[in-house]
Amino acid sequence: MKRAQLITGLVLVAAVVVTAVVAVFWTPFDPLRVVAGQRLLAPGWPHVLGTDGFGIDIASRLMVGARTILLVGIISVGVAAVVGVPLGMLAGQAGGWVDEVVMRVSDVVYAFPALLLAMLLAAIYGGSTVTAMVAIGVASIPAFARVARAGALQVMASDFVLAAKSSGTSRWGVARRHVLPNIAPLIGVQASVGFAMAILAEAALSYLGLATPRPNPTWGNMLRDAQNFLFVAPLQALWPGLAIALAVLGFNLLGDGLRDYLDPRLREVP
Amino acid sequence: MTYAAASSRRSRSIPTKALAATVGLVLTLILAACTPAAAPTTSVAKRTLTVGATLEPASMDPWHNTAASIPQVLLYNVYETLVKVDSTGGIKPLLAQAWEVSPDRTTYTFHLNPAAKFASGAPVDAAAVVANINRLKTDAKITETLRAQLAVVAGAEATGTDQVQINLTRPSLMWLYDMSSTLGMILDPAFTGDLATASAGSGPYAVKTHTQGESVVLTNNTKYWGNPARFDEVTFRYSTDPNPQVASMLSGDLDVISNLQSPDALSQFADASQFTTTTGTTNGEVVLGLNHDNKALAKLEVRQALTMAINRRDLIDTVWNGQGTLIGSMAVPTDPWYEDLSGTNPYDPAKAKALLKDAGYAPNTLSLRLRVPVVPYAVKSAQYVASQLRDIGVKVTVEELDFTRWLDEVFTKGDYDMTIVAHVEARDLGKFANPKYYWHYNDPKFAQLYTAADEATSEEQGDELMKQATKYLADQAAAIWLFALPNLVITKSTITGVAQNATTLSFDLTTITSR
Amino acid sequence: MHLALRIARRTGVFVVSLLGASLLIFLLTNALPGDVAQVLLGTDATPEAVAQLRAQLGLDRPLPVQYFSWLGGILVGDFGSSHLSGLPVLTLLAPRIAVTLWLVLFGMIGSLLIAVPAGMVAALKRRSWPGFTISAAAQLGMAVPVFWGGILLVLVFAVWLHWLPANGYVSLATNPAQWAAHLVLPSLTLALVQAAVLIRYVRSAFIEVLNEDYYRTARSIGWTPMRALFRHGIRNASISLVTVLGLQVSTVLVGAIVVESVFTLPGLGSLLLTAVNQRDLLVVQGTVMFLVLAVLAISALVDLSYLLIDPRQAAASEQGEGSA
Repeated sequence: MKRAQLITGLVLVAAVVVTAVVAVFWTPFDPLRVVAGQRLLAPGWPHVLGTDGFGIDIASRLMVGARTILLVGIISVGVAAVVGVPLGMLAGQAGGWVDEVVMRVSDVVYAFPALLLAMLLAAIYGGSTVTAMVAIGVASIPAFARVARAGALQVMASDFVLAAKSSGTSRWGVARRHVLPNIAPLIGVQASVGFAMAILAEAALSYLGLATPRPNPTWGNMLRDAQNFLFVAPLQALWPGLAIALAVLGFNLLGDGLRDYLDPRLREVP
Repeated sequence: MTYAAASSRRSRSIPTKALAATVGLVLTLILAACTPAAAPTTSVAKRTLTVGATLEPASMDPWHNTAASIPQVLLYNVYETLVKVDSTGGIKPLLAQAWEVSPDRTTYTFHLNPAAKFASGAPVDAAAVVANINRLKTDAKITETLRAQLAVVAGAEATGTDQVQINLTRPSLMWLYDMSSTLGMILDPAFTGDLATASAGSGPYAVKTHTQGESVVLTNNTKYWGNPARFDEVTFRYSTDPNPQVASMLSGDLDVISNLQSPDALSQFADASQFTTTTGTTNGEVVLGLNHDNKALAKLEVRQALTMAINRRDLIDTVWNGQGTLIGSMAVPTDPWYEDLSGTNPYDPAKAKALLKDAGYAPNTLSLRLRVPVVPYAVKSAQYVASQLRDIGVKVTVEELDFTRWLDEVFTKGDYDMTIVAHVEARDLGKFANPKYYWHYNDPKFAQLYTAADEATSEEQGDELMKQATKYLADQAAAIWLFALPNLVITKSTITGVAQNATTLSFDLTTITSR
Repeated sequence: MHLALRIARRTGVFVVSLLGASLLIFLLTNALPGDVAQVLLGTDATPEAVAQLRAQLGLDRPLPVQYFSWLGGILVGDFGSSHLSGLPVLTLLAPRIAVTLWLVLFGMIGSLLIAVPAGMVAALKRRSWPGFTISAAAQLGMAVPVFWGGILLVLVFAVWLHWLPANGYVSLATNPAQWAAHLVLPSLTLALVQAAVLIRYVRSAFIEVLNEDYYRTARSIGWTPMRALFRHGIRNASISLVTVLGLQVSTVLVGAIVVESVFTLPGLGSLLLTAVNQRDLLVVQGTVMFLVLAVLAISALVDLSYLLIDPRQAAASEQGEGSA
């Protein structure tokens, strides 16, 4: 069962990644070019998922959407990890008031959903892919900090760290040689789960019009456009949502599968 | 284990009940707070009409705000004019029963209807009309459009209790039509309140409430001097997103959709027992405006190239479900001087590319910002136009702006290269004669043509000269006219009297009845 | 004594978080590159106009002074005013709070009504197909974006079946039947997505109970599995649920904002979105502050009620914190 989870997750994630990479070089049709007389075609050939209100191939737009989602995911998770992990490690290793301060600040940011942050940024700079990435990245920092901190605390209590400290290894050395390698798998799991959250967040933001602007396709704004044709071409609303669900499911399953794989003693539910 | 479990069981039993109790309390509190006291039932049912429209008026003051959504609600319904344009496009009496024009056509004498009075009870007499004209002449803050239209008026004087004489600086064929619109709205001179929120007109309705972002409610003017209003209350409900409007109409929440912004949804109103669909014309030209301050757009070849790059017939089919009319200049088929100029600078992408190159713009060297308001025809057309221009090697960045921001940044401050908006005023090609208007189009030859047409000694001559002026605009590609906006009115089958063609800015309530 | 200390501590955490959040909001709006007055007036504003607005809004004062002035305003209920209409933020918010509140309330109640029975079945039948299906459905439910769920429900119940309206809102006072009809699909959307998250917790809480003596005792005296599980498990599950719901407040709020957009409900979310589109910075700032205040207050209340009900559980969950 657990193996099935991990494998399904891997397959789904691979599908998304491959689609995104392919889309950088090639899509079956131009995802932005309006085509006369081809509006709202039902799925068939050569438009396997049909066309939208401008005659543009939906499959090609979905592929470009995968590109955007991957970019947003990588950058926001990257930012969150690069900032959150060192902070969490610092809190776990130093303890005391440093720990308190980091955790309190982290809690404040945690209470801030990415959406509200994104709205604030959009109100000042206008919604774009960049504001979405920054908002999601910043909002994801606390999760990474917490995981890193919890992992650091565990490692700090272990025998060989105590030995290393008594033999005079610097805090930085301990961090590099003992903490980091041991919490890396946990960070990996968090990255996968965080990626799933980033995808959902980006989709919601672009649905609301706060991320990548039209006419560039994202799965979220494709759903917004599809809503206009709900009575006339309902299938259009199916594909982008399905893509989001499958991508998120993939990253979630991958994360859960990795977690179970790394430590079967860990319970499924906290 | 059991003992601990038993004791924890006791303490664990509280959460559920506490939760239920809290939820119940919260529910009651909310209900109490949010349910206003029930209104006393009246013995006679209120006759109401709910109209769905698109752009919400920011204020109820049409003299200091330029948006067409304001006269849509107020013209003829709340504020009346000396003369009115009816559904056939002809000028008819309203506050003025009759009028004469002097032989040199610079003096107009209006005979006001002695019965006409404001909602306050004060008579609409010559003094009131003169006061209005003076008010506009001395107000430095009126809109640019009104200022330009008023420029031809030298002065007004009361030559009797109900007789007004208005002198023009020169003959103007357009002036009387302008007076049938926003320019001619007569405000009660005794009004001292805030024009943005309250009204003081002579029409069958008065402004009751304006809920920002949602609706405007008009209430019956019980002291109206003419045919009594047919409704006690009329609500205009606004939504830039056509889908909720369609849904509300289908579910019966709306009585009328003033102009359907989602022509794809027409088929959903096919049931004749429930809905009546009226298809007609408006005065609205959907104009892809070009900012003539932009270096590239100042060049004729560039403008011609852009016009030739867009397949406007297909744009109508793609964007507006084929419901618009192809036009080639700033005139619609109902204008007396209309001729079909849609063949000027016809669709020819190859020629467009060549023209661009001649103008000095190699492929992908020209970048333009297309900033549009978030209204359906503009957003969709923008996507279409961007794609077509990309095909001839012009990079277009599309930006969608909230209408308030559009008014501020594009219309007032001119911060744009291209934009798309529908100009719904009748006979409005004079806007191209005003260099201060947001296109910044400054062509003395056109201004000359237009003035000559306006000053013409007869309607026939005037129409002929207007034709020439219109053609000149088309040849100059002063803007790109995407299509003429159709009038797609959806009503419940019990509603009658909605005009087929929207000949004025007003959504005229005076002719609408409900069975 | 110990309890009083805990309450004081939790209240302290609330206050500190609130201050921290307000600082964050303030800094984001005022300290980032990009002048507030410039944003409000637009890109082409004359320097004089910008300077005038700056003075008017008090933006020429040192940052700390501005911050405390704004904070002070919030304490007395002044969340700022709209630059466009001049109306205070709270006046703009007031008519819309009810809509969002109804949505969140019915969404959460609905999620409980779905998650508890589903979690129970998932626990009882955890080694057979019903259990697997429910867990898989929950897993899928968490992957589904809330707005897509809403659109699908509209497709089925409004477009195809014509049972319910596709969007819009009617207030309770105007027409209770219409009010309910317009809230069904939005609340259901929120409820389903929330339930997917809750099912896992309910399931494991009930699984715990299955191993307890009093469950086996109840079964031995003839109760059906469902009845026995419910009777003894509901208390265990409700503790989990309260904890999770407390943690989920901000997620539910975000969900509500998105659902309001799908169904065009005139709530807090749509006000915020309009203000963002109009670049009405002060309304955005004020509304975000209001929402964050609400989120923090609710989680604090949940934690406090928890403390009062069962301090030992609170202690246990505090140590387990950090896994979210």
